[in-house]
Amino acid sequence: MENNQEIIRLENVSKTFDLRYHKTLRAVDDVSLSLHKGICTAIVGESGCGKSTLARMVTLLEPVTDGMIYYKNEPIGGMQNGRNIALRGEKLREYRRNVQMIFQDPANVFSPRMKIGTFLMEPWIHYEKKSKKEAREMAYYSLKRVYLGEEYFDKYPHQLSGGELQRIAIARAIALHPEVLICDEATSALDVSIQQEIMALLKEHQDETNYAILFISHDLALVENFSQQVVVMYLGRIVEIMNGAAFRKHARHPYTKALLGSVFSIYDDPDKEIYVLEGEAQSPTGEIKGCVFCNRCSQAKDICRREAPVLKPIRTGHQVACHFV
Amino acid sequence: MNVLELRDVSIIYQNTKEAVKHVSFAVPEGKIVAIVGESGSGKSTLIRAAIGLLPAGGELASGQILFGEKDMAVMTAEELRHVRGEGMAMIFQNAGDYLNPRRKVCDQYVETLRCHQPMTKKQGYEIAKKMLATLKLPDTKHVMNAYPFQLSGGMKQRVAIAMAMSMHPKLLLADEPTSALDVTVQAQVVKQMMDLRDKMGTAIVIVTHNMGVASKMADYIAVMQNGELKEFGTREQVIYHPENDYTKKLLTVVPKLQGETDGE
Repeated sequence: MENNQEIIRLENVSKTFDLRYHKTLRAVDDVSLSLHKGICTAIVGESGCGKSTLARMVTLLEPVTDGMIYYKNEPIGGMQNGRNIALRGEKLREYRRNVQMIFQDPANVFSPRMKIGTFLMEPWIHYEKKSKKEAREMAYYSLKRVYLGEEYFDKYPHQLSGGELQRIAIARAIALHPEVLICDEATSALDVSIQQEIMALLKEHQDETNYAILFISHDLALVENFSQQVVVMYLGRIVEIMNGAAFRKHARHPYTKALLGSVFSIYDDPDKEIYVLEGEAQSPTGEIKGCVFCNRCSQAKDICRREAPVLKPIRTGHQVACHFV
Repeated sequence: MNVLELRDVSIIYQNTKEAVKHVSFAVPEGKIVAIVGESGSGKSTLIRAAIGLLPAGGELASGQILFGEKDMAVMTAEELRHVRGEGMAMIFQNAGDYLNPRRKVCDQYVETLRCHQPMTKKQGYEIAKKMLATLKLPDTKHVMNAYPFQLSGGMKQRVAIAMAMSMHPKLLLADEPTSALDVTVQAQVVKQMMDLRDKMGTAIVIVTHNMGVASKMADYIAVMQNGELKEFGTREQVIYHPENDYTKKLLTVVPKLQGETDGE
């Protein structure tokens, strides 16, 4: 299949959680986004901005409250004519096969009583209906793909380090050649040197099989080196979408600039004034009027508090939601 | 003068694994020392030993830890109680978890103060409020009357820093104070810790795995791996002229933003 083909498309997707006393929490608000073959799309933002909820909706772990998710132009989850539809049964199984997820903490992914080998054999037995013997061969092959020896087959998760476990999680996720890989903070629990190895591994297999990646992270530098498209979220809304390369130069939204300003880099001048974003984010419960960022933005004017800005394109592949851009 | 001095310190856990092997360095007055390294390198063990709070089974096998001129190992419990809080204070990674969830911030804050210095509750309350304001917490009255769960992670971390700083200790030990925080909040916390050093002359030992934070804050950087001190030197020396291979590797694997090296 050719590159750049659209695989997953989100249209005006929202997610609200009901709280006590008739309050609601808007975790994701009106997000439209598409994932293309062979492209790595990164979502960055602070905790509570809805990036994990978004990933859980794409994998259909969480029902969508409003809007629609399309997989190869087929609606797979969302609201249609006032009814909530979602894939079920055999179709959902098939979808799960093509959309795989890697989680943040590998230690919580594995069952402590299951050997690594059993864990790697599962996809082959469940989806490909292989015999145990064949599945065992495939599991060895999976281990080889992530540069681990065959001796890992008979080990238990507690005998392995976090980096090794994450490799095995990747091995299982890419075993059946999925079309989309969703990485929810896949490297943030790991040390930097291991992080680099894991990223190299993901990149290598992407070149090989051309899967799309939805990469969720809060590490801006990592995202820039790895992804072709960057989506910046704040309080459930997308504030900026831009190309991955050199986004320090191109970033236009005040929040993106603030995020970039708070990254400490090794070779910075230590006497440089630290840019501090004042205040706290607004509460996500209840209705937010106007721009989500207006209470912390230095350029905020009256219009920001009245009207919510919409995403508007300013260059190819670059969209910003701000009244003053 | 050195506030803290480690002389050939080795620490052994019960399973006879040496967590820290023959580490020596000193923290001069009013300076910031960053200890960097990956998980399992013994950096947290080292800093916990410095305040005498090793986890169960941990033991100082050899060497001396000197606070000022005094050896920590020979101090009585009462002496230690005075050193902790007034002499040195510590901030943990999840400072929020160390606050009592069933008591308001002001109650525990004032109690902490009154444990170490004779004062009335009212005086304590005033000091606490002033300190929280120094740390730029919005609406100090609200923070004082809140329970820990009502505050965000960054706010709890700042409350913990305020508590640690309000006794004006000579030395502040910080064990990964920002790694659970978002980048923008991390920037706030780093800035305030540096401001405190400038205003009060507190020496800080910060344990971190974030090279960026270490490079921003520190005057001296100590690099640790597998319990050994690989390199210790001034910031310039370690960042720009690393000698040890491990330090070099650590510096290259950190992802960098484009346009970073040429100063934007």
